[in-house]
Amino acid sequence: MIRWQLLDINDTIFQLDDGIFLINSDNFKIDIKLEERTFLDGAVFDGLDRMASKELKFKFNKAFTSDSAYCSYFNEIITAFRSAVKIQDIVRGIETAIEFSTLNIKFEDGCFLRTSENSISLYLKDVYWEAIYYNTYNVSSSGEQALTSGNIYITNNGWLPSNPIITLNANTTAINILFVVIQTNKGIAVKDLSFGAVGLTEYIINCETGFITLGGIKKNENIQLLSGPFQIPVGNSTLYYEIDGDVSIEVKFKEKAYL
Amino acid sequence: MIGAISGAGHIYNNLILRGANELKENYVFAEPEYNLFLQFFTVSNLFVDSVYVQNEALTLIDLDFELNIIGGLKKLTISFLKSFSVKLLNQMKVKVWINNSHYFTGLITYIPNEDTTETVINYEGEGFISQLDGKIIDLVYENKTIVEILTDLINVQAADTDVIFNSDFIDPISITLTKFEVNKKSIRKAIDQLLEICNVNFNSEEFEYGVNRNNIFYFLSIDKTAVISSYFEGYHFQKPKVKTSIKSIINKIIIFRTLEGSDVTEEVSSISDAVSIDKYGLKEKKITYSNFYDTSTVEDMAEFIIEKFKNPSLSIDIQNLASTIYDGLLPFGVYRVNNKPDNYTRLIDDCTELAAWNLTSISNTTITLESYYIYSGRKSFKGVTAAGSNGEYIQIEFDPYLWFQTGFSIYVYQETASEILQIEIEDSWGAIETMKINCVQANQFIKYSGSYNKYNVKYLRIKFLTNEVKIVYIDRVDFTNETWSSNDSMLRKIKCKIQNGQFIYDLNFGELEKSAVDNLKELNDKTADIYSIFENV
Repeated sequence: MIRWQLLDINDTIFQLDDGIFLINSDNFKIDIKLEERTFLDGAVFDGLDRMASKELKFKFNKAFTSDSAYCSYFNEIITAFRSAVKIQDIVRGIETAIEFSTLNIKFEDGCFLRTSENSISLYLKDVYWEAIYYNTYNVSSSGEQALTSGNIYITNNGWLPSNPIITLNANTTAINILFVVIQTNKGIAVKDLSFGAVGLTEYIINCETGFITLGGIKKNENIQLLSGPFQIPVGNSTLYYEIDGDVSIEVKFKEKAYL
Repeated sequence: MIGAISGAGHIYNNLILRGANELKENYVFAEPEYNLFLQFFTVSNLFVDSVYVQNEALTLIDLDFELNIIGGLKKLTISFLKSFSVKLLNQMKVKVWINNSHYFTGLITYIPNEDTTETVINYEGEGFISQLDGKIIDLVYENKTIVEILTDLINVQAADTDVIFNSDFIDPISITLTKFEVNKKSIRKAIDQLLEICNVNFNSEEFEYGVNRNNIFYFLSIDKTAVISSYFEGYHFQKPKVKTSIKSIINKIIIFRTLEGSDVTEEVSSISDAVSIDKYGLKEKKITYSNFYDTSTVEDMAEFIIEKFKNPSLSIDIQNLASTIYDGLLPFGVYRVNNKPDNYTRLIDDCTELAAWNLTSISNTTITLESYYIYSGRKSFKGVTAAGSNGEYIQIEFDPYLWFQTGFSIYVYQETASEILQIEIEDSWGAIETMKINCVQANQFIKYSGSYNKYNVKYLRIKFLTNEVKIVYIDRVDFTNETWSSNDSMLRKIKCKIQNGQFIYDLNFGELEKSAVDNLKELNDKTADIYSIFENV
């Protein structure tokens, strides 16, 4: 069964346990390092969460009957790991961003380029794994109404708060946009005189990147004072929305977990 | 050489080329994600050499630069492998192209020793504005607009430099100077002084100047009322350094003058700002005008300096802010810098002046400033109620609204223990949170706090609840929130390097130029008309 796969920047897949790593073999071992560094050097905010990056280390043994087979194998996996930007656990449907760190090869005595104990370390660029696919909630436009407002009841089954991506499509002009999570009293207020004009009907509030865009153009200058990117808390929450125009709304987010 | 060309018309990825003067006429490339092209020229503009890198090969060349709102390109550092054998000399010109767009032209001003053993060679350069530093002039302009003076400074006085004048790059400035003397000063110094005059409306507009990529001098207005963009800690940068300093405050100026024809100085006048002194203490500065004509106009000048420097200066430094090359360089202007969400207390009013409060809803109650019963600062509000005071209120309106507020606190001193005040917090939907101040202990300041969850706050009201004669002192109103801490601040300095197809910025916001006072002080106009510009500030 294939469990792990690497994705490069073009989403090209390299499957680790398709004859490369034997995940279930006795000799295969995965170490994961997670650091809480809130008050130490090196701690950074990742979105709104403050932790240090983690390390993922694969340890495995390999034996080959020829030098060329050995070198071919390792050249292939080094190439794959160096170009990889993401690792996916297909079984659990989660992924995280990575960067190749180190490859250590320790040959058995008398087995140079034949048999070795190996380890590959990856930097985990985020402090969490997240679902490969988004949870999505939609609010349909209901005609020529002057105000679109209401609640979206959201369930986040992850273990960390998630960063939503909100897409608005306008049928009329809509100058003021408000989204707020009632339970946390945190949210974003946007005022944009252009929203809803011809060719400017799609507004994206991306709380993963911290940028909002109108028609693909960054418009962070329109985020109101003291408001900004926010998170969907773990568990059940209510997202209140109020937009002074007729819009359809899509809210999507990826559930996150430490492991 | 790395990734050398093996034949014309081939497509190369991640390569570095040498020697092309005009790229597109000579080579065919794969469409790069990002590229850097450096052209080098002699003093007389003869092509010498060039370097082109794209994609991952960009790591083989380091390009760092510094830009200032005053002066433009300040410093340029180019580092590449010695094996490239690019031979540069001092005063050679370098044109910097990023992703096929011409960004800068600079002068090489530092080259390493020829016998250096370093494998990476560092060249340093600067912008052409430096050529105006080295030109000393001695001139008097009479009845000229600032545009006319700038035209003469660049077109005539700086004619033997590489700097070019083009009126399209000068924003109209409708100020005529009766007399503007440049006494044995550099052209740059004269421009600095003109800049300070043009910055007269500094709350809404500031000017930047420099020399652009085509060697054209620019002197352009920056609108300070609009936010260019907003950046968030944790998303776009980490650990900002935010400093609010009272060191630069000037709230009193003692004006001296030198008597004409002698070295004797005499005190003429002094100007001060009482509110600033109340808030931050006395911050005095002595300014001696060596040559002045009229006392009142020099006082106007001193008032302008105080207006500019009477408040603490906010400075924000952020590092490693990344922006894709496709977005181009950040322009100078006002940005909103947001520190991470946390529990913040925001001072709404320290009750040292009434200017922020709307007093139209009181007619029987009197509100005055008091300097005896105070909790913080140098003043408090003294409210005296009377018949008809019940229901009267003073109010602050927040425009823009204060978003995502969770509470407030207020310090109140009452001479009698009673319930005579009510705090009202109203949002933009008209919903009002109220809290009555129930004073059980007279004759001391007590902190009263309230909590609520408001999406926004539009009005803060302090309402009086009695028709009896009562005396109350109010000092310091704070709001609390758990949202972003936002500061709108002027971007003034940029340090930038190119990495992985991105501009990586170190940015400085807000810090005022310390030379501003000297530039204003040294304006030398016996007719004093120049000072009248500042009369109504």
